[in-house]
Amino acid sequence: MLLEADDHELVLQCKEGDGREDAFRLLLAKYEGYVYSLCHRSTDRREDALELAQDTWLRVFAGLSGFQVNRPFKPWLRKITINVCLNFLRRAHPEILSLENCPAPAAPEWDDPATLVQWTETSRLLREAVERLPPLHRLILTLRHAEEMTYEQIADVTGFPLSMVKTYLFRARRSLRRTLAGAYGWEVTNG
Amino acid sequence: MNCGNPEVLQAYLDGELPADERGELEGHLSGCLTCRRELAHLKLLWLELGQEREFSLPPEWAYLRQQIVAKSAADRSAKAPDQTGLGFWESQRLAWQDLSLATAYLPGSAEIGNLVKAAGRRLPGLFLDLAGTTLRRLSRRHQTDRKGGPARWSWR
Repeated sequence: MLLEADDHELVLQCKEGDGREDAFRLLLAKYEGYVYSLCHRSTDRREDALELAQDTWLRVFAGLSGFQVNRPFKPWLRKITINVCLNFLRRAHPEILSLENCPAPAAPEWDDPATLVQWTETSRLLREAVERLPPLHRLILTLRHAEEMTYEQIADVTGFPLSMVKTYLFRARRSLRRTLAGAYGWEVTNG
Repeated sequence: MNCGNPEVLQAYLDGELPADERGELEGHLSGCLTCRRELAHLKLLWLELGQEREFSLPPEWAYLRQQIVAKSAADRSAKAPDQTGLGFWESQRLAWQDLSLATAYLPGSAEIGNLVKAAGRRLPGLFLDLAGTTLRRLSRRHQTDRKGGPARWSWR
């Protein structure tokens, strides 16, 4: 049954079957949340995430005719999503692709004790800190921790040098570690 | 081993440290409280970062989804015919048209009895005449198609 179809069947239906609109809808229903979440993590704004998700899906469906159905669909979808996000970041923040010009992650706002009390929940606090990260740091952090990609895989999918991937990851996590140090009262080290 | 080097600890937790450096670090950790404490802090961070976080789709996505499906289906339909502008079944119909026309000139099994009565011993010659007529007609038709119509089916 099409409703329970796996990726292979759905992609085949989209490529050549009758009732393609249904197959498009089912493929969308299966992965639209994933694509939107990935886009949202890469951008600051919900409106941007919506635009990026739409752009991603249009490219996916346009490129399906050239997609080999015996290959796994999700990594291909992820690669297109990441490319769309990176293109957007290059247009919106051209300066961020240079390590020298890479802005330092914004410092957490710990000056007001009332703010600290208000943000007692660590996960929420950390989420806010992640959102304050520069977009490219956030994207690479997402690829490492949410997508569980290796350094090399990230470098491959983004086209960045391996050293750049490591630096971005290190800087992002150093910033987040400081946020946690503030929340838990740890000693703040140079890391 | 550079004690307290956060980059090394991060790579260790990522599983990206080469085996020899991993062994060296593990040896160091067994005797260094500062690094063990730092590693514990980072593990907590890894735990938090590893938690799934899904963003719920906003209501306007329903409209965008509809647009995506409609545009993609329209694009696919526009690309569907081949370069001659004919679909698969249409091109097949044209390719086999001449052969199906030829079969129309052949007598059916019901006609064979009548032919035998009418032609008697001349039946083999009659078949040869029929075949010759059919081939001549098809040849004329093929030449007409080559002059004016689209290329459909090669006679040879």
